[in-house]
Amino acid sequence: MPQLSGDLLARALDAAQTLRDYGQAKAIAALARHLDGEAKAQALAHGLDAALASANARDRTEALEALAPQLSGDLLVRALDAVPALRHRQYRSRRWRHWLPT
Amino acid sequence: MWESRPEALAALAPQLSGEPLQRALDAALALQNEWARTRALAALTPQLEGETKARALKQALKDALAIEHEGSRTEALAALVPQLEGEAKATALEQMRNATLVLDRDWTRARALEVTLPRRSEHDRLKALAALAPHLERMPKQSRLSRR
Repeated sequence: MPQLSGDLLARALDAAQTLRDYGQAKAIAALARHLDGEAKAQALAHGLDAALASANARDRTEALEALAPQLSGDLLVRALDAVPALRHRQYRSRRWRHWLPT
Repeated sequence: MWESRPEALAALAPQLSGEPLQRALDAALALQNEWARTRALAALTPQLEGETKARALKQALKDALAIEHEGSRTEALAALVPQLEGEAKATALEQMRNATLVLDRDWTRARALEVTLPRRSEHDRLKALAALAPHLERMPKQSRLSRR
């Protein structure tokens, strides 16, 4: 990913937007780091749409986590608004060890 | 039903301030499960200040201490300890020291030791490490402990 710029980055973004929901959100989260200004804001808005459209709460949570460090302003508020709907089963074991202070 | 709401709140926490931060705090306090509430509060408290922070930490510690499962309680306390001070920190550390004696999962016992060891006397440190040593081979290779 760090190798992408210019046309290649634009093509990667186009390709990301052909993915569905969770996959699109995760791809955009990775690509958006290399964008700035309006292009970044637009990409993150698409990524958030895709994250929140994910079929199950687990995917929505993971997609949201991927995008979260880059969100601000209205997008951050939208992400926060989505939190109450995030509940699902059988999630604990895999996530458990992520909860350790760095 | 497992909660992923605290995970989402924790991911968003570093970006939050002002009114969205207050909303996230309200959402965290509304979580029903002690572990979930502690998890969310532990992530949000670094963003808070003053009395709000103190109240959130107090609630998080209360919730952490109420977690029934030993290993889960240890993890919750380990996440809170760096943010606690004074009597609250002493309480959390005391709980973790006790946990090192009874935890049946090696990695959680090791985690409890990791947090409490620097605050023990040299004699206690050696004793605790000697007790843990026979179990080290069975610990996950990718645990945070082994990566440090």
